[in-house]
Amino acid sequence: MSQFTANQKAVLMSELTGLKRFCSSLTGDLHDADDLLQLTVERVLERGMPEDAHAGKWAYRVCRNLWLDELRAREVRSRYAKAEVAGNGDLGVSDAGGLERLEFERVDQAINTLPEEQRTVLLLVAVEGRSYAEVAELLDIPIGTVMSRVARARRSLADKIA
Amino acid sequence: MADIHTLDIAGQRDDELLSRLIDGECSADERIDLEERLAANAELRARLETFKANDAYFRSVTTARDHSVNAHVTNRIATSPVRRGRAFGPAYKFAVAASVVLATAAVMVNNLWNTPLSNTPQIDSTLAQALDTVPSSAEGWNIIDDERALRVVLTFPAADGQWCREFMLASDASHWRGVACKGAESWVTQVIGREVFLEQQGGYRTASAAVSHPIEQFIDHTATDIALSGNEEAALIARDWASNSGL
Repeated sequence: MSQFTANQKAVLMSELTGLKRFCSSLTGDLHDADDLLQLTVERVLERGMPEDAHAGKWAYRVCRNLWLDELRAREVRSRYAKAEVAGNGDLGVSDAGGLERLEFERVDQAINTLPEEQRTVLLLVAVEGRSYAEVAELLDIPIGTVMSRVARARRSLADKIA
Repeated sequence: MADIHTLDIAGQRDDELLSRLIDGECSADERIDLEERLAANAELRARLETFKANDAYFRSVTTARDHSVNAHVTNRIATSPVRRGRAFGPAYKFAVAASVVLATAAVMVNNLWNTPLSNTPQIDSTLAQALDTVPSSAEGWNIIDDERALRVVLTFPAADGQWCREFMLASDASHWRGVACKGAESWVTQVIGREVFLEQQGGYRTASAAVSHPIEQFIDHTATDIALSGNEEAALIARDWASNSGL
């Protein structure tokens, strides 16, 4: 049985690129971002959403929750991996060395070294153009936290890029 | 006396203010105050420009990365069926003037389904009378004349106090699903398309998503409120479709 309306479907389609950027910001890796996006879409299609929900906001929250679940799972896996795979530091979290060498490399690296929660709010505000209130709703955090995280992200970037 | 800790806190506060200025999140008073300080303080201006430049870099870096969405993800959504909604969220009220939507919808669907408009069923007096009186139902058919059976699916309000009804119309030759709205004179078809919903034995088969989608899209864009309950619809029919502010 279908779980969303035609309008929610259209909104979800229109939000996909922004959602992919969000996935990329969360994971710090494009391949992981693809996987996370696919997982998000599958979850939304499988479980649906309330008829009065905004499909974009709903999908962002599903995405965020899935990523938190994944982080917890990775933390558990890493405990075993550390014991068994000495010297193998690749836990599948992020492959910064495999990223394209862009002319913006220094900035790119600075962005990637930001804590995930700062990088994500800065992406949503400075790149996606969302208001603090919207970001607070998407990430389920107080608006004051959004405000301070955005400022801290900009401050960190200024220090790193200087 | 200001120590390093105090200066750092002041710096953090300024960074937060500058951030909010960039993001358009300052109050009017904060903005005026900050602009005065910026005019007098070159260091603060430089900090603001640094933040703006880094934002621009961030946007460039983000844009430069490949954020295209895999085709199988978009296809997965595109091919998913949609819910037959009886409720329509207030967020989707009238992105476009409904009168324009109503005027163009028939043409849109005509293009979508490649059906010559002249071949679509017209709302004659018999069908109009049935639309006036037949209650909505999830099953069953109302024989309206020798050739046609009607099922009204739901009733919902549209622009300018208009009432619209989604219906299914079956005859030996064709089966249709559409939406008609009650104008000043009579019912006017807004969107309609061919659909196979009667099995040969007289059973019911659900519409394919591909066929229903334009109708659902039309309803989602046109409805100004949720579909009427059975009691509300019965009251409306009893009032001969006169609007009631209580509804």
